[in-house]
Amino acid sequence: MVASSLRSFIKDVRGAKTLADERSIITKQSAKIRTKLRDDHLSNEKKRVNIQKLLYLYILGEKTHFGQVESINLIASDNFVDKRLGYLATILLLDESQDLLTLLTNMLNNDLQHPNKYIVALALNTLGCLSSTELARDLYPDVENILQTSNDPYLLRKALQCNAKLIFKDRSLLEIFPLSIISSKLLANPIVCTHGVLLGVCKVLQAIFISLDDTLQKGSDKNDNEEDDSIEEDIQEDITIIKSISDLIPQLSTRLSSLNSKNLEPAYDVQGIQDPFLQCELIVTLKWFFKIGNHLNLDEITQYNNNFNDLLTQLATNTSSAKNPGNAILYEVTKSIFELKLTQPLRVLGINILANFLTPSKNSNTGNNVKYVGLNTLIKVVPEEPASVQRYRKFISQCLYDYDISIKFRALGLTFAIMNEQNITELTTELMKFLGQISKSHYSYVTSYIDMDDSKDLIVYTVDNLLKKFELYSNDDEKAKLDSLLTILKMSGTFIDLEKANDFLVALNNMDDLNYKINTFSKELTEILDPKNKANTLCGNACLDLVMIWCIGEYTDLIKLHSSTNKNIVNDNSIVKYLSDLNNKYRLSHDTRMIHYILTAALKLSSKIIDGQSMEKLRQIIVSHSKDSNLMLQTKSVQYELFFNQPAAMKKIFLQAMPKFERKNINVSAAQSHNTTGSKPENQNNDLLLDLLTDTVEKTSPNDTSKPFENKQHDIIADLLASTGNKSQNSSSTIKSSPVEVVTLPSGAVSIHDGDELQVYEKIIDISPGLAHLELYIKAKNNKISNIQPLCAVPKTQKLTLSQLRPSNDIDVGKVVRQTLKISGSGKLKLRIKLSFQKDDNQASESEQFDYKLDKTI
Amino acid sequence: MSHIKYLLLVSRQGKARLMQWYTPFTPKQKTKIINDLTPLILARKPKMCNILEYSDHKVVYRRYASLYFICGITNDQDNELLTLEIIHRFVETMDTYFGNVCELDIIFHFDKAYDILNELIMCDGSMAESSKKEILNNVHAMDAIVSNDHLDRVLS
Amino acid sequence: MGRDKILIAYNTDNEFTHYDTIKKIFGKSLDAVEHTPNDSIVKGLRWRTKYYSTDFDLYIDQYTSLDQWLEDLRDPECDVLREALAGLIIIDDIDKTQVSLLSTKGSPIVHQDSFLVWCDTTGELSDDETENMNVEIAAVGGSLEIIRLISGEKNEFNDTVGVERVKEIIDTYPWTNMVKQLLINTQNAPNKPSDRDNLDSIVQKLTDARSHYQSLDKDDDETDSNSFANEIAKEVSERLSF
Repeated sequence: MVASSLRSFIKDVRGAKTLADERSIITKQSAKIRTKLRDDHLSNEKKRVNIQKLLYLYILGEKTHFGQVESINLIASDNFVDKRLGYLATILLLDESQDLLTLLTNMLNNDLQHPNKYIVALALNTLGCLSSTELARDLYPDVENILQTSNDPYLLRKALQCNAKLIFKDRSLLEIFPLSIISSKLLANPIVCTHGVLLGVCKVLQAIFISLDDTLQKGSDKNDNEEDDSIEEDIQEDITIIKSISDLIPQLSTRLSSLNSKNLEPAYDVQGIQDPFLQCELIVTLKWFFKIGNHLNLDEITQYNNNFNDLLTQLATNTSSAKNPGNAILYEVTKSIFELKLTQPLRVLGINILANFLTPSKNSNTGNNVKYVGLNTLIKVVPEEPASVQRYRKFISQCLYDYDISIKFRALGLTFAIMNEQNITELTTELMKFLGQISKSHYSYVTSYIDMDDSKDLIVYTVDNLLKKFELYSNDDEKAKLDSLLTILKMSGTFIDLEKANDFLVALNNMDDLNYKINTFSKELTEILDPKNKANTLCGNACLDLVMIWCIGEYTDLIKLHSSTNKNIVNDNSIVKYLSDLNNKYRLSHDTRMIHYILTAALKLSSKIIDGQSMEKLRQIIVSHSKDSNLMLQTKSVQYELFFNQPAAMKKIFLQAMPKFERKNINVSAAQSHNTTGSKPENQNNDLLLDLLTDTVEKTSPNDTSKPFENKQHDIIADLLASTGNKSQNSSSTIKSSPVEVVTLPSGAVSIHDGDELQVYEKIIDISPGLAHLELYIKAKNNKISNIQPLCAVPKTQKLTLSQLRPSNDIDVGKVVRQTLKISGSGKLKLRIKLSFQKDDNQASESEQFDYKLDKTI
Repeated sequence: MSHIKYLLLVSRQGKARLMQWYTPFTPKQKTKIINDLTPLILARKPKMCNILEYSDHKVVYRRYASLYFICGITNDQDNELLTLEIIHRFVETMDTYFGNVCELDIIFHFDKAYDILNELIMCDGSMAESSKKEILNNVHAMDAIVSNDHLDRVLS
Repeated sequence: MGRDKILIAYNTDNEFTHYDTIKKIFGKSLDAVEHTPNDSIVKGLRWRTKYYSTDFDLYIDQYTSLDQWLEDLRDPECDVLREALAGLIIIDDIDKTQVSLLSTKGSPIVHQDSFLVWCDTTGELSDDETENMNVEIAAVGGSLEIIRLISGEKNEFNDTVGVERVKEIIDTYPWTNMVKQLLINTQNAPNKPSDRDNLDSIVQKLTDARSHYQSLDKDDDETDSNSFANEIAKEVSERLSF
């Protein structure tokens, strides 16, 4: 029942004029503007008002493309006010890809020669924003003319910026650009050479270097043999260009040096630093000189190497780090040092600057930004200067406790980046302290839900990486490692996904020091099973439960024998009861993974205990799932029960302890050697595809060579389960033998290609915004097809992931194989597919290719 | 080298007040960037750093006068700390021009805000002038031509 | 006609005078119309900014339980009322659970373009705490903004706070019936050095210049006339820049 006061308001509203929806007001407004803009008789003043309104709608995110032509028309007016708005509207409403740009050519051409410098400036700005290659070529002479003839710093700086953009657009303009004016006109005349003009000079030089760098990169890709000559020519030209401007190095260096040491002009002062913008641009420009010069080993440039090193040292020493503008310069200095791979003393200096970023003065409100870039850059440069970074471990650890989550994450990343065999113990202690603090704060009542998500992410990240490091440095002190693992598990187990528990199990399983391992778990079990600590079995830490379940399955026999075990607390009876309690605790959970572990542990345990009553209880655990609604669990339960009833001696053989588990993916050198062997055939495939496809498509091919690799990293538990499952029927081999999979054509699959040898069907599994999941079924029509290689391409706004062909790359006549495709990104779904294969074991390779358009968009 | 990809101005209430794109994006991409970044940045606490990673690039923002000034920048090329100063220059210049700039000024004089921005940042997002005074002189001079033209029309 | 009603709701149990707050926000607008502090509907108010003015009505309601009141407002019967709101202002002590009722994105109480403001009367929360709550609301996509009435005018970011912020939110609302004070042009751009004297002299100069320029014989001496024109242009632009 609505209160009477609200009623009176409703009555009042109804009494008023009819309400219009705001949305429709906007639609009406754009419609009105649209009609008005079409009206040729409208005065410029009215047109201006309409374009103004249109721009307002543009900012609101409305469709405004219909105003493009009128915006351009407004530029044609003689009035400055029209031109000004016309140019603004043109910049906002058009972009570089539009054909309409040709309409601009004449107007820009006229305005670039206009007597009013502000009109020239508007034209330059617009050309700089919207320059197609054609516009760049057509209008370059006008821009150069301004550079040659004007002495107005305002126009010169605009023309320089614009010129830089034109060079980006068309590299060939470089050949005609009069480089000499930089030093003879722009730098030489103190009235002309303002900070703005210098910024423009820097921009032009950087544009030159970037296009030279492109040529050099092309030159180093020796693949395109035919183009080699022209690239070689280009490089020679480039060298000439660079040599001709190398005399700018001392000039620019002097300017930078004096800019850094003096502070005379208040107009350029930024919190006590003289024009940090220009200082940074000069550093970057000089860096480019040396980057290209050193690469080509040009004496004209390398002769200045030492001077540049001295200059950087000067900047590093003299620039105040008290405020952000100074730090921006210091940061730019370190970027140069590491990008140019300068001498070791400079690199140490760079590390020192970055490390100081980690402890900014307390009152600085930009402190976190400096920390952010400091940590980010240090992570990148650790490999080059590990020892110097190591020295700042304390600074880095402090950042772990920063207020800002992104700082915490980077500090963690850096901590793991500097972790090595020597400091792993020290850093682990630090990280455990961090985990403890963050787990505790997670539950604190003041913590908001955003922070809770954040702390969970941090914990998961930390645990993941710690586990990886533990595995990497496996010959480290195992006792400490086991202790740490257990502490982590207890502290953070509630945050960790069960999948991750696998890594814990692998780490535990692979530990060599059996005695210590058993000792530890004996103690753990004692604590858990001690009737005085009843609460333990009810804790919410599923990961800890899982590890205990697994240990019971693996080590109960050894634990029972161990001298430190208190037999009054830890015995067949109590262990089985514990397992049974856990079975009850998790049996109603949606997550069935835990039950899989419990069943396997129960089966394994049956070969390790003797107490008859307990044995029956174990059987009950297994049987309790024989009618489970989950089919997998039901099957497992039935199979395990069969197996459970086998004679003890036979079971013992099957149910041996897990062997040491290999995970090669951690091993860096192995991964690299894999890549080098695997990349060659893949590249060939890609090239082949490139010949076929336009260069606007992205291609992916399934990496077959990764197959044996993946097999090695499969789930330890799956392995265990699979082996026990299979063994109940046949051998006692410990290697998982995959059952032969048969793929059949599902209902609803549509034929999308019918070739001489192959017929291809497609079935949509799922299409959601940004993601599509499809399956292709390939059928061999007349002959047995072998070694089939699918190559697929999607539009470049999309990314394609291909899975392995199932069941194999060979197809018998009339049989089908399945290919799963996952497409992410956006746009219409289009595929180009090429299938290459061999027919009838014939060596000659054949192929079939087709395009397929789905009437769907992601 | 400053190579700003875009500059957005968003109010504390999450409304876009100004946008300038220095790298070509499709209309769809533009909408996505605005829709993604607005809640992301409004949900950042005041003490957090002003740099975040988004999509394939970094975003630097600065909060001033109930507005968020947001810049997308090019990884590795751009200097995040310097970008903060560029934003600050823009803010200061508008502050002087409008006299304590507020959201309402920008709603009703967005063209002026663009005029100032176009003097400060050009072409593909590079900084073109570092002096606030120089920028203001030129914007005022252009304003003067406009009022002059106006006068001219009145005279003739 | 668009949304031109502002609904204000306050807690009857709390020890503040809601009218004081309303007065702080709408002072000048209220002074211009006849009303009593107990009126629940005040019509024909005018909101003025330096750029525009707009007419609006105030609806003022009270509640003892915000939950119940909001439930009422969400009732389909109130659709027509909610659709007419430029914004909703709650005046009450801050209460975290109540705030969460308003900040959920799923069931917005007002139209997405309308504003939703909670004026905190106690000031128990500090500026920082208020800020943090606003950040959390933003994080879940809510449109509610909590404003501490006792805050000063500006915070460290030069953001407006307190009553001034409430006014700013009303200022920046896209009123569909706004009347612009002056057309958007450069004349009313602030800080423009165009005082009356300066303008007069320019006008004078221009008139002189025009007649003089026209009197010159262009065919005879083109350079002369051009240089004159340039001189004038220079003069004028110098006078117009500072």
